[in-house]
Amino acid sequence: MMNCPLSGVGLGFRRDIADLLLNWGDENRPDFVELAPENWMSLGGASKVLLEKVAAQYPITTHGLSLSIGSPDAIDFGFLAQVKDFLDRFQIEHYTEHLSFSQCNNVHLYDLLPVAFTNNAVDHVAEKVARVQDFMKRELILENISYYTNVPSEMSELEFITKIAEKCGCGLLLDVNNVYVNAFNHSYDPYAFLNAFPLDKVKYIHMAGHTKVSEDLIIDTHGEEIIQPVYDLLKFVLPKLSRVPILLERDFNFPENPEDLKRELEQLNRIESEFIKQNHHA
Amino acid sequence: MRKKVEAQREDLEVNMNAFFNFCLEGKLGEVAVQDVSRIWNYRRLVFTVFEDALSTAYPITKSIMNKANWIDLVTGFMKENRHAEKELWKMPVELIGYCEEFNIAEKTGIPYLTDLLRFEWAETIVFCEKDFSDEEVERFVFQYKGQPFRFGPHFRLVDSKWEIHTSERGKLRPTFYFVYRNADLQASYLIIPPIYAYIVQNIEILLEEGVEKFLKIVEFSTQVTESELRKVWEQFFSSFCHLEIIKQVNRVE
Repeated sequence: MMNCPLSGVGLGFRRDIADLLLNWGDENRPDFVELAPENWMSLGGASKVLLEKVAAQYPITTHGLSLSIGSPDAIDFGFLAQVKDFLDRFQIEHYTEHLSFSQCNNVHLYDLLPVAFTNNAVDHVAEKVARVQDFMKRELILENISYYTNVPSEMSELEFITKIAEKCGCGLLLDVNNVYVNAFNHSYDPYAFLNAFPLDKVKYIHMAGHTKVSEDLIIDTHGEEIIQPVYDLLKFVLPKLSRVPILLERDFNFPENPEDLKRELEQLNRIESEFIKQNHHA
Repeated sequence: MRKKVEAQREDLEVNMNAFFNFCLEGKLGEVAVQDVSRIWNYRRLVFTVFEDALSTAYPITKSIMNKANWIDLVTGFMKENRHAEKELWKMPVELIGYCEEFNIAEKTGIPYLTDLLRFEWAETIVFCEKDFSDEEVERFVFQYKGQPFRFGPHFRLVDSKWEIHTSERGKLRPTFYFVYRNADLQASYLIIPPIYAYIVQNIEILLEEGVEKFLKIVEFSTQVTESELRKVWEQFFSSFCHLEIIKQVNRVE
């Protein structure tokens, strides 16, 4: 097993691309892989063997799905203990999750719903973040999620995320594709959004593709290639950040030709290298 | 002031609950959102998550149902079940209880539905479940002819009233399926005779008491003669050893 603070450009680990990852070669090789701890932590047999093979070749990081930090329900410390064991086992520095909820009255939805942008929600999330970080003995990093409809709120998404970052003392995972998706769906300027985003809290970046389902709606599917406007947003925001790892998320509809996936990683590597070069010269 | 904050929090929780329940039930009710047409996307996305997980766990069940029945099964399960499993891959186990509670076998005209679901879930669980620790594996070790052997340890016995996995699927005939994790770590199954099933059902006694005492207990409770039992045991032992379900343990001193 290999692990150290992450850097460079990584790729989401899905079973569909396990063979590709294990036989990648040197060219545009991902610097790390990311997986959902819930999908692996209680598996044995062939799945465990596969995970160990991947972990022997790549540094691993995780991105959780089930914390439900915005949920009215109490924190499930039994579940957190399992995640902590997993993170400890693979020496994973941060616990990354979503600023969302997926559980109500101990019923699970297995999908991410947006939290209402209210002061009460900020207080509620802050209280839970403190307890999670204390238990996990590591920083929690929350992702800005994509959302398709507004629930009754007292503030904008941007104000909400800023307040969360200020009050909770957690890090942020900036999903650039989600910024694009939300800006399109809710008619705001993604560049203005990024300019005002609490970028000093950003520890990690996600990049992905999406699907336009109608003239005025995009769904964050992770099932297509990244489009140029999302690359442009990345190029815009990178110089405003300290160096953070970047992940290519692809969950399904994998290209038949693996070279297409490699080309996306190459593109991200090129953008990242350019950023490093500029920073070095500055 | 405090009352006002509490009231706001209650309102927030009520709306979160309504939104959440809408995704599972598909009824708008009291959900307060700005764009009602868009909320249906959440319902579709959640349906896809459930359908995908259930299709993965129950491919045979899906293949024998017509599309409308399958969609009704998924949507009914989403609506009526309290989804308590946190890990998505474990969620499909709850479909079995749902089908029993709501008598889905009769409603769909597939009388062997619940047995088939139990069989398919047994395949999933023996493939997926966590490896046992050395201490846990030790509980599956027994002595025979002075040698230590390990039984399993990843297996399930499915006791079905029906043929569910052959060309005679749906024939009313008690069948015992021994589902196990094979040497290549894949899920396999055997159709075993009732006397073998009896041994598996009582395997804990064998592991605790040893083969000789176990055979005496079986002789007493089944009225099968000792010589017949010994013959059955030898056949059972030999065939399970052949498939590496029973394996000699090499002790490292």
